[in-house]
Amino acid sequence: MTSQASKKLQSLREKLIEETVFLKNIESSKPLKVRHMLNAASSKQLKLLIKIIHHVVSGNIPLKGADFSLLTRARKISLLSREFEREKDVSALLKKSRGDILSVLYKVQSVIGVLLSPIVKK
Amino acid sequence: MSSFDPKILLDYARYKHLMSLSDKAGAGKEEDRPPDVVLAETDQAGAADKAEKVQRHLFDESSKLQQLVVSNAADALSSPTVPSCETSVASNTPKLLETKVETTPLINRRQKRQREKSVKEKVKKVKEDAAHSSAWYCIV
Repeated sequence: MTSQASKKLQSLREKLIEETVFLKNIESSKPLKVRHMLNAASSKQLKLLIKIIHHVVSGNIPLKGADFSLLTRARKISLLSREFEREKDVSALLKKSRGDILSVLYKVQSVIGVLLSPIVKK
Repeated sequence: MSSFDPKILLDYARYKHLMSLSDKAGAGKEEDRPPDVVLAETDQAGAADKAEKVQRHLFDESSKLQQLVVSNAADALSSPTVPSCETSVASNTPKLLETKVETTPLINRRQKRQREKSVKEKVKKVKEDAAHSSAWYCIV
């Protein structure tokens, strides 16, 4: 791992620690409440969510087998890989407006808890 | 109320001493021992023959006992109806013992396998948890 990549990860970790409460709340909430929380979240928090989802989908953050089967059952694998797998797409999404970011996150609101589980859960 | 009399203690000590002496004397009596052993002790010249006799007698006894156990086990296996626990204990104890010998190792093996499996799972979980807690993305 290069020093630049490790610096990026370090800064992401710091952001994660800053937003621990927000992430824990989203992870433990039901999809409808997740929608409300996304609406109430700051753009910084939304961007952090997108980055986390990108890391999970690209495999930097390993997902448990049971969680992966939940994603498969929810039929979100193709959508996640289309929207969040490539870094280019994610950086393009981050540059978009808040409304566009929210519309993408609404599509995956039912599985956001599953995607955040490796970060929050023991 | 009666006061303590040291004579009683002395009498008791004497009685104990006499009893121990009589025990020592009685240990060598012929009537307490089996006849073969007595013969072996008394007759010094034919001691070897008599010891052999005793050994043969013991061997015969043990072989008879073994045959009895084997025949009981065969009966237990061949009998179509399984006797209830109480009757088997009361009437035929060797059968019960034999069936125990047949069943216990299987259970032990199964339990051992389950235990090993659970231990492996626990170790795996602990390792995963340790790896997870040291990961950069873990914020718990």
